[in-house]
Amino acid sequence: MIASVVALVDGSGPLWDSTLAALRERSEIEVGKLIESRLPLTLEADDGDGLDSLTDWMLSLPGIFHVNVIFVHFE
Amino acid sequence: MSFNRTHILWRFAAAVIISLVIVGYFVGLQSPMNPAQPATRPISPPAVAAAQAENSSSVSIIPAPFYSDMTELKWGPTANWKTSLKSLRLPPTQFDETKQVTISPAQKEFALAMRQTNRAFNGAPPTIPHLIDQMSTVACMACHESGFQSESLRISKMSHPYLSNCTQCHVEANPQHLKPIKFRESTFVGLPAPTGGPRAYAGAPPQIPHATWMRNDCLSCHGFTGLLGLQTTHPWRQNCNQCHTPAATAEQFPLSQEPEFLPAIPLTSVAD
Amino acid sequence: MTPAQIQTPESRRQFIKMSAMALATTAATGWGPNSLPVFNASVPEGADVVWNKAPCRFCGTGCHVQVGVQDGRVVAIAGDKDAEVNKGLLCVKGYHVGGILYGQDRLTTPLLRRGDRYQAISWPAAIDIIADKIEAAPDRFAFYGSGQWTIPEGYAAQKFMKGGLSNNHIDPNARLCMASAVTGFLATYGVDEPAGCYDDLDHCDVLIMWGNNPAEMHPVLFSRVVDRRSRGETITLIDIGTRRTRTTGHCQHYLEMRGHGDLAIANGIAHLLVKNKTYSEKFVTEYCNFKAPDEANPNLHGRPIPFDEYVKMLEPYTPEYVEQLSGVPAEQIRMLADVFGNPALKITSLWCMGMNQHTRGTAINSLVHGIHLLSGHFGSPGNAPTSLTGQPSACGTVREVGTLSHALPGGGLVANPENRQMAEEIWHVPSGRINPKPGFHTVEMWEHFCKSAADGGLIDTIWVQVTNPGQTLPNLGKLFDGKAALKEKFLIVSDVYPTATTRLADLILPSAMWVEKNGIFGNSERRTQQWFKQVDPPGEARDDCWQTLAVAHRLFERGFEGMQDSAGDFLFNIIDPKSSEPIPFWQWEHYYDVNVDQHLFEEYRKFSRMKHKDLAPYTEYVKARGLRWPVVEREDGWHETRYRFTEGLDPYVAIGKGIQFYHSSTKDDRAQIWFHPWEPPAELPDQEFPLMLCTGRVLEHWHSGTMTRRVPELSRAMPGAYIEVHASDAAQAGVRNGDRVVIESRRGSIEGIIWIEGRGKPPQGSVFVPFFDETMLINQLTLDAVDPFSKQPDYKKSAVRIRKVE
Repeated sequence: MIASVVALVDGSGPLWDSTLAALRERSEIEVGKLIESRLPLTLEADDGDGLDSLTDWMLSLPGIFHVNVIFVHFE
Repeated sequence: MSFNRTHILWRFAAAVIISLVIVGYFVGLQSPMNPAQPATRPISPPAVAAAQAENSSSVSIIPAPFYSDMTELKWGPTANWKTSLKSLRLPPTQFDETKQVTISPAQKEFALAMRQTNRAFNGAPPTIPHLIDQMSTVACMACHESGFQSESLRISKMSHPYLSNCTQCHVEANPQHLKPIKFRESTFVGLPAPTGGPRAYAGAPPQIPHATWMRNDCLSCHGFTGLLGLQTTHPWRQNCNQCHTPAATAEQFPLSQEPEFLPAIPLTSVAD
Repeated sequence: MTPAQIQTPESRRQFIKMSAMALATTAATGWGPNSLPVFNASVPEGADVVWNKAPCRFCGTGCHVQVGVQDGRVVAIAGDKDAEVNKGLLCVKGYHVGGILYGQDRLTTPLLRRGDRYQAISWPAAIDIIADKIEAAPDRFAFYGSGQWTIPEGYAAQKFMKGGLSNNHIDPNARLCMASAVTGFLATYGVDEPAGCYDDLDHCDVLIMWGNNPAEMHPVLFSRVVDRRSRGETITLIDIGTRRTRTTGHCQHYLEMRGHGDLAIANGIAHLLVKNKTYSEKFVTEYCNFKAPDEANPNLHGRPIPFDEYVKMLEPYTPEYVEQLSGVPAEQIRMLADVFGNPALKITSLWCMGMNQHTRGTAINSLVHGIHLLSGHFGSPGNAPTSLTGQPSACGTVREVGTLSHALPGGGLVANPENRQMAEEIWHVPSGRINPKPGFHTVEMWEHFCKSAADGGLIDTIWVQVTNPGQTLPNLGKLFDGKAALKEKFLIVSDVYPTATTRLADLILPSAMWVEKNGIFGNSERRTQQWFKQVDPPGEARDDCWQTLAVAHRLFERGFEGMQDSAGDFLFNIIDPKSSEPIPFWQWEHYYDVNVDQHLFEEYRKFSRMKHKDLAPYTEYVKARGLRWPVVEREDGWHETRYRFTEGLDPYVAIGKGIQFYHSSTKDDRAQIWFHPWEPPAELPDQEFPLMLCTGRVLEHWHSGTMTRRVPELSRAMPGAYIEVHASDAAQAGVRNGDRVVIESRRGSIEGIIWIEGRGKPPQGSVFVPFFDETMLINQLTLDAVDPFSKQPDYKKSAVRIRKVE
């Protein structure tokens, strides 16, 4: 499953760079270009639970407040 | 009831796709921007995926036709409709007025955030998340007079008494006759929705933290067609104002004193 | 990536990921059709919101809003439940009126043009530049304002020009908007402004809308009528128009006419009333005279005619002939005549731009008053011919303060020696200061400005306040763009945002707006409404009124004689009672030491008695949600007047008179019922330009869109202008919905998007384009022909053609 999401973030916080680096490190996450406080991303997982845990993980990072789901591709 | 915030979001995604297919076919709505609250019965993503997989063609969103193009369209089933119909859920179990509703802070926060997405400030008329008939308001009343809630779609109930000219205050958020453009940036910051009313003491019923003008049907937001995070926890009680009182500051009660200009020098030469 | 490449699972996955990322990015921008909405509310909770009253900044309805202010910023708006006009309801523009203050591109510093760039300059330097221009040639300076001037702003400009510069070249954009309504009222009653008020909407049985779309343009008033239906009342709504609109959807009858068909329809009704003897003989005999145009000497007095001659003139206007002229079936003309012929029905007529933007605007205004008088549908609640205004103070500032090239405050005329004398006395200026010759009206003013001195152009400098002529003048190529090539011309623009006008400005002054300043507006029903400053303007933006007074004082400092009163003091002096010294309000830091509005208003109020448009003291308006003039003092306080000219309702009507038109132009307390013949529009479609263009407004945007297009909710709902055509005309031109076309007239051309079966439905042969979009200046195409009496142009009838952009 591939999902496109937009995260609501605080891109000016002190820990933002480390958050961004952590996101970039994971191969199943592709990070887009930050637009004001919105960060477009694509997530890839085997099933819904995988997407769930990815999102949970993202929400645990400093500077990420909310994840909006835009589109999910089921294959 | 167990509740997982991220689960809601995935269910949203599923609900959006299903309802787009169904609603797109029947009604021509472009996108249900006002999806239902997360259903109590879960739609598991694998089930949806299976339903989708039956259809070999495509999972892409079917574009709804413009009203203006209706006359030229050929009518009939689209490629996806049969498979999608299978996954159309019955409405959720009837709203049970005798059962206590539990709402987590996260649900409430989410509901308030949802609510902010289609109004400029708390008290502003919400914008319309779907295409509308430009010329008549009869269609508005068909759905919004009483509101409705299914697993995939939530139709809000009017919060005020019937007013004939709906489009006077409610305008489309995403009109289709022209692409939305960013004309000029605004730095306006609207008044946020209050998160709760003040209580006289712990356990006392909270005061209504917003104006009730044009929002005098409490059930519009706090009843079963409202977002879950805003619903009343005690649906068996019917007389809201018995315990919850309006706040004078929000209600335009007559001003205790007249509006005043900055300390001014009294009128002089021109008065006589 | 071609379809073939997507075949492998890996490339397919890549493709989906790419699409997913594109979708997410679009959503994140907040402006795509499927994007995430923009979150507006992010201020912290807690701090108290202070609420205060103000009239809405937009149209002439004059709704009151409650303005919520927190930490020096407007954060919320609510309908004012105590306001009689709107009773707590607003329209979508009104609910978002607070947002207009916060466009990111607010003008915040004076800017002077240097070649193709602007340089920020100080206020003293800007004031000096204006003073230099005026000193160099006071009679070649003109002031162009609008019905958005507050009453004190307009009054200051009026006194500055006519009492200070002895220059009558001051005119407002209202000339483009309701000048024909004024001439209609003057020709009929001898005095301007409606006799009825909005209360008529609560009482009428029949509402006739003449070329009017109140569902979008005056929604609060329209709702006041249609919401009566949901309370179980029966009201007949009749729409006479040239295109189906949202209003039409609520009406029982829709009479679709061709442009200028209204003249024929009104005459057709009068014809049948007389023929069927269903007119009110009593009303006509007791209260009316008959008039016809004086061909030899056209003026608003016309020539008196006997009833028989009036009947004879109406003779040709049989329903069948009217059908031929207007396109409205004879049956519907008979229906209208039956409505007017029924004395049991209470009939209110509403009109706005359809009848005013009309090269026979004075005629059609007079004719509609005429059928109300002829049938006796006048002078009681529910029976009234009422014109609506589009600007918040078109009545207050333009018609009452008289910021027109021929007028003086309170309904006076510069050509009238008594009126001049009165003004000179109130202003304490020497006799003879006011120039008796009317100045240039709007179209003339801009014609002279866009013509070099060598070619006879008599205006060198124009100061524009609170309006956007670069978008709203007709035939822009001729009346505005012509300035660009003329080096000696100087355009000063006071505004809040960059506009189509500032693109040619030489000096741009940043203004305060709405609740950033004190103000008073006057709405369509004679209601005068006051508000106080509630937030500070951004940067160096300052009140328009201050700008005018600062220039006046700079001229005074330089010894300019006109800025002195008879005693040699400053024309606008305000004395501090404690120190007996003048208060230096011309210095910005001292402007709010005193309520300048109050001082100007109290002086202006002295003019209001002349035509019985009595205004109450300023302090009364502070307490009220507006008061309708004449406001007359009795033992128990000040009382407003709902209905004029009717005994018992208007304190100036003598006892026993019934109806008394006490400003009758024939000095006999009678109103004038006019005959005017049908005449064709100034331009008709032909083979070359086969379509009739009508321009107008939409619900979401107010006039040129300067304010509303900076409110995200409004801008998203109606992102840009469009070209509405009939499906068969579109087919003829080979275009479909959403296609880009060129629309052109003999005067200019622009490009736009086709919208068929959209917001409105124009009949075959006609096109509608709204004028709010500064990126689509439809006024490049419109005709600059004007009504002979009111000098108001016609924006509703220009011949055009469309062709597809390949």
